[in-house]
Amino acid sequence: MRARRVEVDGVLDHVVTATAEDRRLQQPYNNHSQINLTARMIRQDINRIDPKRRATLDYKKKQFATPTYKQQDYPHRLNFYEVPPTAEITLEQFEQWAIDRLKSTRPGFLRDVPR
Amino acid sequence: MTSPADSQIVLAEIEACSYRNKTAAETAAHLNPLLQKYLPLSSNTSSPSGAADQRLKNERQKDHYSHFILRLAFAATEDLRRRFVRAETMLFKFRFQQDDSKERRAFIESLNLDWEVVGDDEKRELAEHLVNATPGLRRVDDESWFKVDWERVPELVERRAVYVRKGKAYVPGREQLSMIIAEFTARLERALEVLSVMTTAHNVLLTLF
Repeated sequence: MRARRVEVDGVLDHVVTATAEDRRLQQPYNNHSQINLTARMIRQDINRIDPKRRATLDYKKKQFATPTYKQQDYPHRLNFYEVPPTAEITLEQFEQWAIDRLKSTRPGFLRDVPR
Repeated sequence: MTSPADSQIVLAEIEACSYRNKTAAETAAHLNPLLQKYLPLSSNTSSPSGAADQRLKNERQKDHYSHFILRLAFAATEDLRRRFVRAETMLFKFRFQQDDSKERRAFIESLNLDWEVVGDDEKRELAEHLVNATPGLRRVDDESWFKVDWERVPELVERRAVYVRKGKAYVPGREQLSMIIAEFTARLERALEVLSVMTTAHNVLLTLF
């Protein structure tokens, strides 16, 4: 864990970034060195899973698994919008797509927006 | 909730009204260039590789994501929700009518609406009843039929415009449009209600902690 002091809007804050060491510590029980064990005991509260989710996880394998979602492949042109989107998009796309949708059917909404 | 975006939205909402007194052709002439420019959505047949084409995927992804982004923006008040539902329903209906019939059928089948397509055998067997019970119909073969629980189409039953047998109403294809649109609107309204409750709860929690 590496902490860095930064200034955001005149307020001092700390930015904590994960280091390679952290990622190695997060590997479940692959190294039995005393240092590592101690480190893990201290860090236990960080590694704990939300109790509600615990039952569904095999902690040895899935603790740090990335979430997986149903793959969306749009076989049809039309969409009933039942399944929310889950993939990542950029902020620019987020903004531009929303504006484009507004422009397409509700031009009145954006009359006063400069761009 | 007063942000500049909100006031703009409230100030300049005109468009839905502007479609109200137009014919279908006028609406199409007005909408098509806008949609083409900002939100193109092509059919599978427009590309040699069908739904696998990356361009189609991108268009559909944009349509999908922008819909959900606007949901967030419009869930805040009852008034905004109503406007959102109206505009989205209008858009859906417009696209639905333009879709080619084969793709439309595939889409409807993918929705799992508990609609059952009436097979040819059954259609022939019930031909006389269907013709008699459905006004404005000359030949059974002109329509694609499907059957649903009759409670799903109370307005058709009320108008006595549909054949009902063993609890199932036999609905002709041309009533499909209004039923799908109604279903679309109903689901969207429900989803927005849930979303607004969730965002309200979220805001309350934020003020507490």
